[in-house]
Amino acid sequence: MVRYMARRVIVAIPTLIAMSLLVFAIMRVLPGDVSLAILADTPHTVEMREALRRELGLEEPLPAQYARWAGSMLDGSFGGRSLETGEPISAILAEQLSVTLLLAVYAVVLSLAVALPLGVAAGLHRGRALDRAIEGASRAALSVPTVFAALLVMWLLLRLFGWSPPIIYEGPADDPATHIQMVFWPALLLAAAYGPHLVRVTRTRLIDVLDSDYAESARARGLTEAHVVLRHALPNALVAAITVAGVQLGALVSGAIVVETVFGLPGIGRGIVHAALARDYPVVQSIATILVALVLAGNLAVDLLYSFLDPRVRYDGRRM
Amino acid sequence: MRGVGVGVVLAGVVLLVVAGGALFADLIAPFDPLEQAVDRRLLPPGRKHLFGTDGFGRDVLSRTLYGARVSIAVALASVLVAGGAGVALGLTSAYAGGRYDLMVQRGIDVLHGFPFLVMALIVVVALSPSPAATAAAIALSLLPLVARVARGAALSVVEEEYLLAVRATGAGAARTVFRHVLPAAGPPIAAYLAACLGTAVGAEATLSYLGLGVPPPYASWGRMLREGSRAYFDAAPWVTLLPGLVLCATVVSLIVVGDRLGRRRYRACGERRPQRVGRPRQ
Amino acid sequence: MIVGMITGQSVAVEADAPAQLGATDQRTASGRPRGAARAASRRRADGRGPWGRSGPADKRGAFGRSSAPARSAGGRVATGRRDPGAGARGRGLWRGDKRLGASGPRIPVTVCSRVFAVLLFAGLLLVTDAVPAGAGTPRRGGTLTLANRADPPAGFDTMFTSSIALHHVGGALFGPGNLVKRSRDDFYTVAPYLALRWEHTPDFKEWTFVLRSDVYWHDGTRLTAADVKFWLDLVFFGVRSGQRVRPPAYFARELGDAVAVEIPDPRRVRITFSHRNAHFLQILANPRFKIAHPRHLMEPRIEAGDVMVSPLDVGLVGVGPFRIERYRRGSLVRVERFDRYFERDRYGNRLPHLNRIDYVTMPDPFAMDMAFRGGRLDGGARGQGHFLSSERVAAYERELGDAVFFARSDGGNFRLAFNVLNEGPWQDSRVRRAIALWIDKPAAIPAALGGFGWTTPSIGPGDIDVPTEFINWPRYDTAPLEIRRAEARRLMEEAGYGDGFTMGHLTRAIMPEGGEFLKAQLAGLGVDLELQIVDEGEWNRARVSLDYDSQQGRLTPSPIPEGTESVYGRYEENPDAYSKHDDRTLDALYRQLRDSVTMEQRIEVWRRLSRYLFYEQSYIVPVAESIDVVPYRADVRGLVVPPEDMHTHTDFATVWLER
Repeated sequence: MVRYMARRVIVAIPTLIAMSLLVFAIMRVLPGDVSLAILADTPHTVEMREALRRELGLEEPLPAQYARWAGSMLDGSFGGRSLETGEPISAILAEQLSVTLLLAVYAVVLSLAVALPLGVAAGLHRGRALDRAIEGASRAALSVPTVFAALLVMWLLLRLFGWSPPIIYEGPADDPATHIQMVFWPALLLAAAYGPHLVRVTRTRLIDVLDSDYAESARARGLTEAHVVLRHALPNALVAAITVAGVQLGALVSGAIVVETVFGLPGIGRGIVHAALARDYPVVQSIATILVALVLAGNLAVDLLYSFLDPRVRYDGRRM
Repeated sequence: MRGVGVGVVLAGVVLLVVAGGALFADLIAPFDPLEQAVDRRLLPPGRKHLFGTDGFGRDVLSRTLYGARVSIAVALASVLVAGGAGVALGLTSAYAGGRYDLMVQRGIDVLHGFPFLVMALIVVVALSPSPAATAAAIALSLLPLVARVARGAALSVVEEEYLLAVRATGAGAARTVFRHVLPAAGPPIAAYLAACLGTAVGAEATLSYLGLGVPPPYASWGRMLREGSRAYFDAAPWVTLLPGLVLCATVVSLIVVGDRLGRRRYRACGERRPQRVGRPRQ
Repeated sequence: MIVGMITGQSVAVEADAPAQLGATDQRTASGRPRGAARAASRRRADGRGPWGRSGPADKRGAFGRSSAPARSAGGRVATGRRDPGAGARGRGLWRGDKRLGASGPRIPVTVCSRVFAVLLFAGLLLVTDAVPAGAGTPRRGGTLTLANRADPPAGFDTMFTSSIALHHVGGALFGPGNLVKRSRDDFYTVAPYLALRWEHTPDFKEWTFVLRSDVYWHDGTRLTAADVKFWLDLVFFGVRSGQRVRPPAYFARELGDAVAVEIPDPRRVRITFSHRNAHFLQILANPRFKIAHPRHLMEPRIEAGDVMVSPLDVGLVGVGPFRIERYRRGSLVRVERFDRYFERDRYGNRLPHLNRIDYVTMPDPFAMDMAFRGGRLDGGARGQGHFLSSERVAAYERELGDAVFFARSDGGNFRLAFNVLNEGPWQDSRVRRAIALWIDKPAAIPAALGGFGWTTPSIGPGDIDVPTEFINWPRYDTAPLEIRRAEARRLMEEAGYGDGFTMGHLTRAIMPEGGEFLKAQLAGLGVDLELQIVDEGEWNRARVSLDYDSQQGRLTPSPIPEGTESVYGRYEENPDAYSKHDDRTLDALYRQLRDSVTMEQRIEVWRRLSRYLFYEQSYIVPVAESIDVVPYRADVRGLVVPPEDMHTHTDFATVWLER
């Protein structure tokens, strides 16, 4: 087990390096001079710009710039400072990351809590009205672009109830009531975009197991259907759902970017959109890399969890 | 073949209407989508303006029709690019196997690790917003998904005996891939690409809403969402809601049709019904 | 651009700073001494003074509503009117007369309607002023929650950004002025702030300021002349230590070519310029020059090599009415009352009244609207996109009724500027004239300016009290549209472009409405305006380059006409100029403007200059002037609403809450 884990982690490292190189490479296609982007809205002199270019290290060769940046990602300064606000990126991360992580956790928990029972119900009622209803609902939830749904929810809340979510974000420990009011709708919207996959997988997997020879033989041995479902089908479906939850983490990040922007949650998703609009490229570069690394780590964690739940995968290292 | 469901028929109709609207926008659209008229600003939906007018006095229906053009063109372009490159990578890596396969796999893993919007953000920041940049951003994030599906589909074909026979005759690799592997692996890939199209339409809307997608004066659906909601969601909800609903209908329909395609092909192939490919996520 | 004018007199004693001594210089730079002071005092007294103000007579019920029937384009909008005392009302007429006299021939109808408007206005006041006495006494305490459109950029450094997101917060943290400020009673009057008084040599080269002795930094350190010298040195000269360079402030050149800053004694600061700097005081009163740089905290860091040290790096220590309590990136800037703040209101109460201001970061205007209407905000954010359109105002009104009022302020000019250094038909002045004549300017207001704005033939924004001595462009091309358009076609034919042509147009992706409007307009003249839409990075590069045929320039007002050379002048000297031209006539006119001594001369030269620029040459086509509108809850009292430049003029010291 430990060896398997170690191997998985080691394999992830070159992937991460490749990802950071890709981010760096794409960002360097930038047509404009970044120093100009920084001096946005300020009349400036050539001298000002040159001082800035030197300070940013834009005069160095690309490999040196990459090395410096990669080094800063490791030593905790995460690429230095924001061009726009002049703040350390590490400080930005410290403030914003927890918001997004919490939001993601709520969304995952919420979607598991809703999706698993629905998936199981659909699987048990396969082909019948309930199954079709769940299928239809999850398809609809999946298809409505999150951005449109978010706008609509925000607008309807005000029009119907004269209510809008609080605007000053508080952590769950500081002010739980405000926190919940503020994150509830975004988390629900995220879960709506994220949950349908889980419903589908749970349902499919459940049906697979119920149809399997294995289940048949269990029934033949006189075990009740309830036993078959609870002892065999459910655990299998659960494992499958968790796997999909891991694979879909990236989708969760994308969804978070959207709902944070519409609902004004001060998370890393809104942060990166703002930075992108302001062409604050060190922030975009570092946050993008960190988001990618987090998704990678999430996938890894799910992989390990999966291998723990289903020891067979450890040997060939492949799933499905 | 069994009868298709009502949903699929409906989806087909929606798609036909939207595609027709986009194709023949110049013939159908009652007004020039860019023509402004201050004296008819923010008119609610009515007989003359079915979808009402926006803050410039532009006809929202006409803009939605022309917007379909932009949104669908961006989506199609991105799916074509992602499809072409993804299929090529997937098929060849499945066919060649070995070291090449491994390299392609790792590359795809790297791309796959990027959440769609994160990839899109960095691409758009690097390239500046334009329809091409939007399409490129979407294509890049669809590419690894398509490549994986293509590889998977091809692998099942490559192992089959007749193909081993073909290879034994010494047929060229390129020829084998295109003459034999592609036709066999094609249907599931096509179904997947249809679903991708739905994703791409939604993705364009998201990017444009965030201000990172198609820039004005192109009237893409996402752009309309952004402009409408920021300036007058309340005073003139139709400017935001109607294009939004058309957008949703299109995405839903593409996914329903893609799903249906996938199921039928599999059945036609006489295989066990596979796990549905589902919708590639944003 | 409105060139709003600082009338050029310095005021002896400001009403809300009773402890102050008289300023030494009654006469002024521009030589419009007594008359101007009188004008200012009348403007103050006529009940339509530009500043909102806490005072016994300030009744929010009347506030704003009165302006609607006669003039406003979209509902009740506060103009910062204050003290509508009965005796003052008749004098509004005087002002109308004065305008007539000052601005030359005018269309009589306008005068009549104006007089009528004033009468109507006065009548309304009589009706609506009936509010119980004492209703307007400032209350102490409370939290004001405002939206802010982004995190303040550049480490809160006022020397490197004029961002509205910084200045919205900056007024509270760093104070509404520097050595001087614009008077709360009259925006166009320079008032003392950190300096008690000042004097200058007859050649206007040496300016000496005497500082107050009761000003403290938020960490308790007393403000000294050395602090001011430190700030001025950074502004004018920056820092150079080896390879490291801290450039001078972006506005250094605007302030003048300083050669030295000295401290003759611990309470005095003397600035020496190499050239005559007659308008220094008026320039300095620009509230974007806020002091955010405590010497005792920054100097050691700079000496240690950190030349770019920012106010944020040293903990945001200012001298303003509020001190920082909490800063959460992307979320919140919270400031609380600074108990040792030196200003008092006219009753002797210590300012500020509020306990706290929360600036909540809300980049999305839609989210801001929902939050305001859902009761989460007391005031909106300032900035393009966040300023309300008439549709949004209507939605606010429908839902909140009397519980909301709207501050409005002149927002700057929407224009089309040609790059005549680029090859093309627009190099022909007839073509530029034709374009100027063709555009249906009033149509720009609903389409591109959100429904609030003004244009020819009005002489100023109806319900904002901006002096019009320097505004005359709106009166060009006042003929009916059909006649203008016929002339435009004729000019195009004459120039040989009857079939039209294509012209590129640099357009910012974040505010494309202007470009879209111009494109739709010019299509009728056969001019295909090709919008080249760029993001902010490219915009900042492109607008100072020669790569585009035309552009709109930035939407900012400038307080004094001399300051406009950087945007109207020759490209070679002023790369940021809206129109890229190489016309030396304008050089000469600006020289005359700077050398003019009396107000009359100044106005006369400015008239010639702007006629040449906007009319004869049409390098720049002024389309319409925008009006910025910000919502506030009705129980927000004593708000200072500047008649223009709401962008950097942010003063919340006198605000209090009626709740």
